[in-house]
Amino acid sequence: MPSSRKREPPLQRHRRQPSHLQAEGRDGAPASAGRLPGRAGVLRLQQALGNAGVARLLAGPGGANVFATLIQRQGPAVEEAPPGAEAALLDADEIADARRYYTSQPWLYTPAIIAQLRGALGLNPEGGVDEALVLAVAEFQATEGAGDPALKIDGKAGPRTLPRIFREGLNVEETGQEFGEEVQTEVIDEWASLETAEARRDRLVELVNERLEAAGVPPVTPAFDPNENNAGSFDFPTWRMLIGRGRLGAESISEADARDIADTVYHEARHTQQWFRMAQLRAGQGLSAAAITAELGIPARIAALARADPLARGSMDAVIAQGWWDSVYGSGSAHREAVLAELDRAATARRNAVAAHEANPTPATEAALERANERFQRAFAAYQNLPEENDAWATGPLAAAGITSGSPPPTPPVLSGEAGEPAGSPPPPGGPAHGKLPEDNLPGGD
Amino acid sequence: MTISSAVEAIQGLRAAVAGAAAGDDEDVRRQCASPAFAECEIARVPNEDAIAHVAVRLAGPLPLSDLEAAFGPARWLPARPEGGGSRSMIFDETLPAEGSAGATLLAEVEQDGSVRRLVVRRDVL
Repeated sequence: MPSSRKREPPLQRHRRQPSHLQAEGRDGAPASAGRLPGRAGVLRLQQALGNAGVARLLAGPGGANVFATLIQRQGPAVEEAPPGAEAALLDADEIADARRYYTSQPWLYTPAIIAQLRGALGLNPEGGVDEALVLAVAEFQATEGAGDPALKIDGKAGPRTLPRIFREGLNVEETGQEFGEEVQTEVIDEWASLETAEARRDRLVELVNERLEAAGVPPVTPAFDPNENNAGSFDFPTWRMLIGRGRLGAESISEADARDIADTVYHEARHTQQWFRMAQLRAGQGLSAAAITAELGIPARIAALARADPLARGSMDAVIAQGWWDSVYGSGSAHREAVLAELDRAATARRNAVAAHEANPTPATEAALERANERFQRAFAAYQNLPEENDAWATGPLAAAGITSGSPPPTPPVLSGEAGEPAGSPPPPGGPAHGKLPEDNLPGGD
Repeated sequence: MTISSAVEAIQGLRAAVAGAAAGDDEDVRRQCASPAFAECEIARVPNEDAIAHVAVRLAGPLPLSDLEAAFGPARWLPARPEGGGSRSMIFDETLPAEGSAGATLLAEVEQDGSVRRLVVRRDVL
């Protein structure tokens, strides 16, 4: 199993909402929230959704966003602490609480794991669970974890913080950026020549599969999602990457949409990596391929591959995968289901409130819309705080950073005799006749 | 479409998927042509000829209870990472035994409890 662990610098990130949660206008564009929240409300929204999400939420049907100047961050969320200022991050009670977090889970935070953690944070590996460890974790959370979504500063290297310290596979920054750059040159720049939504989808998935395979993760099968607007989702029971045809079928794609596609596909591929690591974790804990297939609901061939390459018990990879497994299949599963169900309900309530306010704007519908927005913000924050989502949301933007433009403008057909065409130029040998699009000029009889 | 004809078509598709040799999906295609299925998509294992699964859209919705009567109890799988929309259930009794090949049945259950899409997954243990 290749393991290219390295620490990454903090990154500028943006957020998106899952496609099925985005408020849709009648024309398919993100709908207006109806009432624009005040400055404080915008900043709260921004904290919950990020600039991109807030822009979508606030944008009117025509895309105008009168609050654009308000949603720029008011300086960095967390400044790097000056030397000697670490103690201010946590008080004595919080430090004691964090130390108990480690010592109360000795099966997880073994001396070997603590030593690795200390070493990664620049401490003497032999110091054990002391105040210095807790403060170093807190400092990491405040600085390198200050991106989007931000890590809670509590000194506990749990299932959200550990994957950011010990980066591996798709959440290594260079891996994500290289993927984004290849999406730019091989999909976005070649948008017209790829011609069909299917060809674009297959090339995107081919590129992300190269990253998955390099991380020792089985590749996914590309498929269209019944939801045409879906920018991507990982379906673990069939090991497929589903993308909506509508996202890939237009004759051109904007830079913003290209970033969203690259971010989403990479985010979902990170889920693929998580699911395979969970399978490898259970293999390392002694489960058979049949038991892994049944427990996780994944294809038997994937379970067999995990069984052939289990995570070593007590390894850092196993500790990280345990955090995801606990959330999805273990003690956190009921909470996860409740969070996802509430997110769907809150999104539906918000869509209904938007529609009611647009149909008949009154102070009452305005107040209802504000309540619906606040409910959605809470639901979205809870969803993004699930360990596997926190990790994937921090990973997707690594790919978006490699996108630099939308697709080149489509070339209009040049008709014979029109201005701009050299007079008398012959058709290229074997090429399309003048005045014909290539697809209209294919050989074949009537 | 009657319940019994739909169940019969699903049984036929399961048998074809379980017995399909790599590169030979003629029987699967024949089963896919059943009027019980409005759409049928055969997916292959990446970089291989082997069938990974067949995803079908039923010609009409089926109650989950009728499928459970035919294929045994269904169990919820965790929501997909993205959440939303339909949720998948797995019919545990269709999982193959250790050392054998089979066709595991999964259903996408809508919020009203009906089933419009099924996946027949080829599992070899």
